[in-house]
Amino acid sequence: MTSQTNSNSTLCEEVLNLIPAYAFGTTDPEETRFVEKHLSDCPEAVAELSLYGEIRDGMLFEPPLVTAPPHLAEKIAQIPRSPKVAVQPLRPESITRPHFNVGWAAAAAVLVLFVFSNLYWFNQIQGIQAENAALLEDQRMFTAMRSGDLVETELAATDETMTDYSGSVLWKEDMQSALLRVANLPSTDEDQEYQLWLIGADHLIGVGTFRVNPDGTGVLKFESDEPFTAFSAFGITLEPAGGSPAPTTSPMLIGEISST
Amino acid sequence: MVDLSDDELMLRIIRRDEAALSELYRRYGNAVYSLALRVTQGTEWAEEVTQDTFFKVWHQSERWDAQKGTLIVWLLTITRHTAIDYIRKEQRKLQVSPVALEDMAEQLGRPSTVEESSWQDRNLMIKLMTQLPTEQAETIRLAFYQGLSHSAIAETLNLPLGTVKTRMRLGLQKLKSLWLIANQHQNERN
Repeated sequence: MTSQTNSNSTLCEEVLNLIPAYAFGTTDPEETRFVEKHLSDCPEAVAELSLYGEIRDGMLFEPPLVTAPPHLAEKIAQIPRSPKVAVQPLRPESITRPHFNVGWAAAAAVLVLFVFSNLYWFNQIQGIQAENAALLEDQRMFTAMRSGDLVETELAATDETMTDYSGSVLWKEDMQSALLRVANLPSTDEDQEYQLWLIGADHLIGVGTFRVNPDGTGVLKFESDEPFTAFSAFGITLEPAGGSPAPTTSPMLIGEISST
Repeated sequence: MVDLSDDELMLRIIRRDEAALSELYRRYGNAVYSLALRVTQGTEWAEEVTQDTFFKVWHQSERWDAQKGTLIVWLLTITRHTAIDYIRKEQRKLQVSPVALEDMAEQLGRPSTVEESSWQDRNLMIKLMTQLPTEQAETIRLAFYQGLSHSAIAETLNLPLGTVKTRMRLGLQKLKSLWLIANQHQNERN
């Protein structure tokens, strides 16, 4: 019993030591898991976390107070009349097209291979899903996509500072499945993922989340119960891991859906 | 509208009262903008973050829970997360500047002349942070305003990871002591 008490005491001491950094979100993932696993067993650490939480909240008030530009008030007043999605208006002239650089060309080549090499497609899906039913469905999708009328919607950066970000969606009007690929997106933190949205005039649907590889590329196969042509655009936002019911950030990539 | 408490104001926003949103901005717009400016260090970015913050408040107002804290803390927490998301998306390496906060305020925008008593009551942290050794305050600010982990701070400052962890721990421990003393004095005055 005594050794168990000592062990718990040592454990709580370790938790207590990590509390300041944990409260400020600077602990490494392993340390975070350690704190969260044992916190409830350490009342002193719980109290300490509460105190550091107050200090963290106090930091919100440290910046010197400055006056916001007068025109911001008018923009804020317009928010209730703006669409629910924090989507910037689809203005083709304002969308920055990705540079056609070597990286993009290489990514495009990968995309072409991806779509038109049956063997590659088969192996990819087998590796990702390893379920026969899903595999058959994906093969069916691939076959259908090869049969013509395939639409490729290019996603473009919404901001001039993100011009390297790129992506495209392969879809067909008579199919419910589609394929997204992206390139040059920054890696997400562990608690974040990218989320793909179908954006309509009066509603939007999150159709899947994904992370990118270390080289910034990523692929997502997704489905929609409604035809893709019922929507006006595809959009990608950065969301908490697991996705959000509605976008919490502005989209970084958008592609306008047009019927074939 | 100006006589409404913060809680009453949020109830109006939840009921889609557009004037209530403008009143919320009138009360706390400068605070939101100031924090956004501190994180992003750019006026255009701060404007975007401010808009995004109030956009989220309007469309996700039902998430407001008066039992969990004050409205201004909730609002500024959203602001901080939004601003950090912005700079992460941009992968902007903000320069670590030894510039004093007062100087930074002059560089980044006009000091507010708005009477905001709530802000005055709460800006104790400004005084406390100046009492920390510069390197400890710098480490804490990088963690808080840029959302950097120990490892990322070490990389940014080109310091060993252990040094960063020590600075962070010592700085926060001192901040805690100063915080407790200040609150004790406050309670005695009250």
